[in-house]
Amino acid sequence: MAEYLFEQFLIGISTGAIYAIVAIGYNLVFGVMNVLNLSHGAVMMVGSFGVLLLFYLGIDNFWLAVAFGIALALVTGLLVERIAVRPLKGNWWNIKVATLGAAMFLENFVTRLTDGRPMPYPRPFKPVYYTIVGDFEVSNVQLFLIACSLGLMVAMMLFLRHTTPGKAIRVVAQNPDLAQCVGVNVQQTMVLGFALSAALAGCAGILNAVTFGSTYPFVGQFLGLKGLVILIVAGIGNVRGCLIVALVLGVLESFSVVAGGSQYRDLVAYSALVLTLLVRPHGLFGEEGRTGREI
Amino acid sequence: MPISVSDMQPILTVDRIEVRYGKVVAATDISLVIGKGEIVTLLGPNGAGKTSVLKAIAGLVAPADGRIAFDDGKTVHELAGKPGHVLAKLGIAHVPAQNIVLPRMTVEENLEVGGRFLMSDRAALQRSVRSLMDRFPILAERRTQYAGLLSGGEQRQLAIARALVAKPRLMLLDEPSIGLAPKTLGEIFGLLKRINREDGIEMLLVEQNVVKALELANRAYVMRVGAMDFSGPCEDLARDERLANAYLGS
Repeated sequence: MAEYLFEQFLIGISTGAIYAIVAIGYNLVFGVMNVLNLSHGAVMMVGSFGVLLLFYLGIDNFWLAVAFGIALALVTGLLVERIAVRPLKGNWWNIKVATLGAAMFLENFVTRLTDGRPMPYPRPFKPVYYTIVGDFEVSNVQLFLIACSLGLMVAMMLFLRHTTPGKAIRVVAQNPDLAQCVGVNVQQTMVLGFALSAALAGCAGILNAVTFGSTYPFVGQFLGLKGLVILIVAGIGNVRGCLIVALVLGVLESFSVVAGGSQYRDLVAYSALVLTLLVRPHGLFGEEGRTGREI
Repeated sequence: MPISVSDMQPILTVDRIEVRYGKVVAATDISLVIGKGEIVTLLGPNGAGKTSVLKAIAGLVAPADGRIAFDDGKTVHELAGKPGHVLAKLGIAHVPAQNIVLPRMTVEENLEVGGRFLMSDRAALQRSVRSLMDRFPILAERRTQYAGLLSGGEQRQLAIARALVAKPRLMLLDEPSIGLAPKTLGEIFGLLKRINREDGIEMLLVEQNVVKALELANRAYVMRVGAMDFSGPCEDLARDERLANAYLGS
């Protein structure tokens, strides 16, 4: 039993870390543009299929395929910004509908190309199991996934905290007018936020597909919703809060599967959402009065 | 000795600009000049369009008509239609009326942000931040605190210090007196006077506190709803009954 719990704990940490990447992707766009990008999940899916596309084209290199998948997600995200976000000039409701439309287009486009069935996913390397103590085992793939997700999170936090473009993003998120006054190109920073968010979406889509060994055209709906739940529970605009809530939620979900079966998995997340909205609507780590313009 | 407009070298010339938000005209046919070494104040009742004029000069809204010329000592730049961050790089520092600090950054980070996007020399930026902390002891004392937790007067000092980090040529100040206690207000206005004298930075000041603004500035422009009414040296205007009429209605 203990080994099984340990394994579930590891799965919880690695799915939680993926949720965190998704939530931070939402946060970046929400922060700099004050809009909710509902195509985020679909961009993750595009990233995961980008990897498969390169294999389909006959290039049999996992790492090259990953780079291509991330690049494809980034380009898709920038196209969404250009077509479905920028022309609407910050109109909150219109952008939600337009990005949802973009998601539907992408999902159905990929369904059309692939006939919609789940596709088996390549692994970065052959799984090798290491014994830690007694019967506690961990595979190199698991370790790799956890290291990648947490590494991405740390890199993101360091980027926002210490680099000039990272600071520009934080300044725009706090006050776009003031950002101009101190010499930040706001338009360019918004595009940068969108691009980073899309690249993170691509990473999350690929990490998720490697975790489950498959991907399908509507995978982004489930992942995207989980990311949104975390964004709301943690409180909008808080990167560290997102990481903590995502990891806790991932582990709780895993243990709920042990306790009651997989049908309880989503119950945990949505109960947390309802409870947060009832008790602390601005989120566990959020600040009051910072819940967006019209939500 | 008042400076007369004719023998002054203008560093900023605003020539018949119009500011509108969609179909709503906020101010029309606005002209003003700021001469070398001057502090100029823009007065007028609530809703006259003073802040809109300031925003147009700062590049936060593009004027619908007219031109704005800025002489940085070497070349004359056309400002109308250029975005705010470009004007900041030309040496125009705008301090808005409200939400003047970045609340979720520390005092030191706020200062650093004042030059981070404007100065390429990182060492010079650090030196500038340090010398400003020497000049504003309260900011040095609070350097690791979040700026959102400072008092109104401290936030105002931080915003003014941040505007100075990259050594601007011209400061645009929107209601620096807003929300300040009388004693703090005196300190802030004394500070502005010193910055004008010691750093040689010209200022355009939008103010509601007419008495204080006339004390600080060399010349004043007075707006009436959406248009310029009259202008003159501050010591003359202080006794001018047109000023009272502008506020009370004649």
